[in-house]
Amino acid sequence: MVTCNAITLDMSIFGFSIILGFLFILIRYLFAEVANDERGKMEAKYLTGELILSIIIVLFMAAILNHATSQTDNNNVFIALVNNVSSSVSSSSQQNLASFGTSQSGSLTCKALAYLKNMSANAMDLYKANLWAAMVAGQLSTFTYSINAAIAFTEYISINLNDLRPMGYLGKNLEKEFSSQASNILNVAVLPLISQFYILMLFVNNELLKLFPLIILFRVIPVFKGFANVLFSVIVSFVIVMPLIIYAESFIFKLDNLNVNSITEYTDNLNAFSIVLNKPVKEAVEISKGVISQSWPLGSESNPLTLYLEDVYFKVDKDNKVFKFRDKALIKYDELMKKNARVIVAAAFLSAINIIALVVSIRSLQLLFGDTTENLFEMFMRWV
Amino acid sequence: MTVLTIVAILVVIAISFYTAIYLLGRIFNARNVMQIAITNGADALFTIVLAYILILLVKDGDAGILSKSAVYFVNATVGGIDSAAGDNLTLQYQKFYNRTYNNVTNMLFDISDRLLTIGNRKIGGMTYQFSGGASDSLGALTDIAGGIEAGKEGGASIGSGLTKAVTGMIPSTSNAIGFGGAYSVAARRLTILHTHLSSLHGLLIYINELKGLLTVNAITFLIVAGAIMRILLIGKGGGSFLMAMGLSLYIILPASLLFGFALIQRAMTDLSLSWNAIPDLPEEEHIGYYYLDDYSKPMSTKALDTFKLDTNAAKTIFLIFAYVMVISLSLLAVISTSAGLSSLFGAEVGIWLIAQIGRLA
Repeated sequence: MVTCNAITLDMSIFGFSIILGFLFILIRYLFAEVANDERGKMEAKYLTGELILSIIIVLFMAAILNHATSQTDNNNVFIALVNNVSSSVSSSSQQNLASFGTSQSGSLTCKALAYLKNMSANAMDLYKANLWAAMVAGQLSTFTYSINAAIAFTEYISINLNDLRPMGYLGKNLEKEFSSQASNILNVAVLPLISQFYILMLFVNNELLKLFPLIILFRVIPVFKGFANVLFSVIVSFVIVMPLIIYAESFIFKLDNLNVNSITEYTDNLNAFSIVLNKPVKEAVEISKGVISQSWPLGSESNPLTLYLEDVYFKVDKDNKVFKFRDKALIKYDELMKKNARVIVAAAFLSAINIIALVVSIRSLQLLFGDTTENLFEMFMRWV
Repeated sequence: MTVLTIVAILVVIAISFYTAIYLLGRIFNARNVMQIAITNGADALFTIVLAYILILLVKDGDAGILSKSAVYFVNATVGGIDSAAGDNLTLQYQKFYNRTYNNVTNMLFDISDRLLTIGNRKIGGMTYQFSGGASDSLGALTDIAGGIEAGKEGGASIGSGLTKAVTGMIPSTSNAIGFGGAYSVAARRLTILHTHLSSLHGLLIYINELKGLLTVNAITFLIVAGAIMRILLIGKGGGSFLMAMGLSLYIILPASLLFGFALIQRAMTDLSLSWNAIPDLPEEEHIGYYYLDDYSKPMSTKALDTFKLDTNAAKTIFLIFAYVMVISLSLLAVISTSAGLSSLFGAEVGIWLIAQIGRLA
C-alpha cells in the first residue's frame, strides 16, 4: 500500500505572494516617481501586467494540480482520460487492456506511485533471484579444502586440494552470468524505478508544493523570473505530466509477480541458498579424510578427488533447459533469463519514455513563458 | 467506431485547450496570444488527422497492409518464407525466431553439458607442503617412497606448493594444468564459447521481449500519447517522436528482424554444433596423480579432438557476429526511421539526446 495523501494547496500563501508582489511593484513605482524615472514607471506598469498574468496562470494551474492530486479514480479527469483511451484501444484491437498495480483507489499521483512501487518490488525480487542463482552456481563452481597430512605421512605438513570444480567451468560461467544479470537489473530496472518513485514522492507532498504559490511573487522580481519559470515548469511536469504518463504506462508495461518455483524447485525462500550443496560437500570431505588417511597415495582408485567428484549430482537437462541437482530443477535457466529480459526491456523503455516526456514538457513550458534560457536538462546531460 | 472515439477525445482536448488560450488572448486583447491559439489550433488539426491515419494503419495488426507488405518484401528479396504462416508478420517472425532461439539454446546447453563432463575429468590443482630439502616434487615423492630421513637440511626449508609439484613434471606452472591436462585447455575454450553463446541467447531473448511488448495496444498508446503531447504544446518534438517511434517499432523492427533471420538461415542451414562422443577414458587416465610419473598423457590431444573446438568455434563466432549485426541494424533502422518520420511530422528530434540518455545508464 502506498500511503498517498491528497494535496491541498495553502491559499494563504497565494495571498501572501500576491500582496508582496504588489508591494514590490508599488515600491518600484514610488522610487521611479521620486527619481522622476519614466522608464522605471513603465517597468512598474509592465510588472503589474506580469503579476496579473502570473496570478491567473498560477491559480489556474493550482486548481488543476489540486484536482489531479486530490480527486480519485474516474472523478479525476486525467485518470478518466487514460481509462477512456485504454478502453477504446482495447475494444478496437480485441485485446484486454488493464492497468497493472494500481487497483487501489486513489488520485492520479497515488496511482502512479503505486504502479512504480509494484514494478520496483517485482524487479527487486528478480534481482534477488539472480543473486541467488549466482550464489548457488558459485557454490557449485569451486571447492577447496586443506588437510593436515601429518597424520598419514610424516614428511608432509599439509596437502591442499584447490580449485576442484564439480561443475567444471560451467559453474564459474553461470556465476558470472547471473551476477551480471543481477547488476543489470539493479542498474537498468530497480534503481531507475525506485528513483522515479522517490522523485515523484518528493514532488507530490504538501511541503514542497508550498513553493508553488510563491511563483507569483518570484515572477515579478526580475532576478527571480527565470527561476520562477523553471520552478513552474518543473512542478507542473512532475505533478501532472509525469504521473499521467506513468499511469498510462501501467496499461502497457507489466511484470508478473515472481513465483520462486518458476525459477527453482529447491526453495521457496531466495534467502536460503546455502542448504543446496551442504550435504554432498560434507560427505565428500568426510570420505576424503577417511580415504586419504588410510591409503593415499598407494591406491589411485581411492583418490579423494575421484570420490568427491563422482559424488556430484548436478546435471544439465538439455530438453527442459534447466540445471538439475538430484533430479530437481536447481536453476530454471531459460525461464529466469526470459524474466530478466522482460523486466529490463520494460523498465528501460518506461524510463526512457518518462525522461523524454519530462524533458520536452519542462522545456516547452519554459518556452511558453518566453524563457529563452538554456534547458536545465540539456545542461545536466552535457555535464554528465 | 472506437478509433473515432479516440479521435473524438483528441478533438475535445484540442478544442477546449485552444479555445481557452484564444479567450485569454481576447480578454487581455493580446493579439499574439490569439495568433498562437489559431496557428497551433490548425497544427492540432493536422496532429489529429495524422494520429487517425497512424491508428488506422496499425489497428489491424498482422492483418494490416503494412505487415502484409513487409512479408511480401522479405519473400521477394530473401525468400524462405513459410507458406503455412501466410502473410502474417508476427507468425513469420515467430517461426524464424523460434528456430534461431532453439538452435542457440541447444548449442548453449550442449556446451554446458560438455563443460560439466570436463568438470568430472578432474580439473583442479594440488599443492603440497613438505618438510625436507628435495629439489623438486618428483624428488620429494621419490624421497618419501624411499623413506628419506626427515629434515635432511635441518628441517628449516618448507617445500613449495604447486609450482614445485608441477615444474618437475609438466612444462607449466599454471594451476589449471595440474589435473586434467588437455581437458583444461578444452574447458577454457569451451568456456569462451559458452560466454559468447549465453550473450547471444540473452540478446535474442531481449529483442523478442521488446517485440512482444509492442502489441497493437502499446503502439496505439505511443501514438495517442504523442498526439496529446503534440496538441497540448508540452512537447511538439517529443510528441512527434513518440508517434514516429510507434510506427517504426510497429513495422520496421519486426520486418528488419525477419529479413535478417531469413538471410542468416538461408546462408547457413546447419545451425547446430557437432561433437565427437566423449570416449570412456582408460583407467590410468581417469585418475589424478598418475602423471606425477608421466606428464605426456594429460597433454594428449584427445580431448581437443573430442570437442571439435575449431569447427564449433568458427560456427559460433559466425552466428554471434551475424545475429548481433541483424539486431543492431534493426534497432538502428528503428531509430533512424523514427528521426526521419519525426521531421516529416514537423519536428526535429536530436538523436544525440537518445545517445546522451544511453550515457546515463
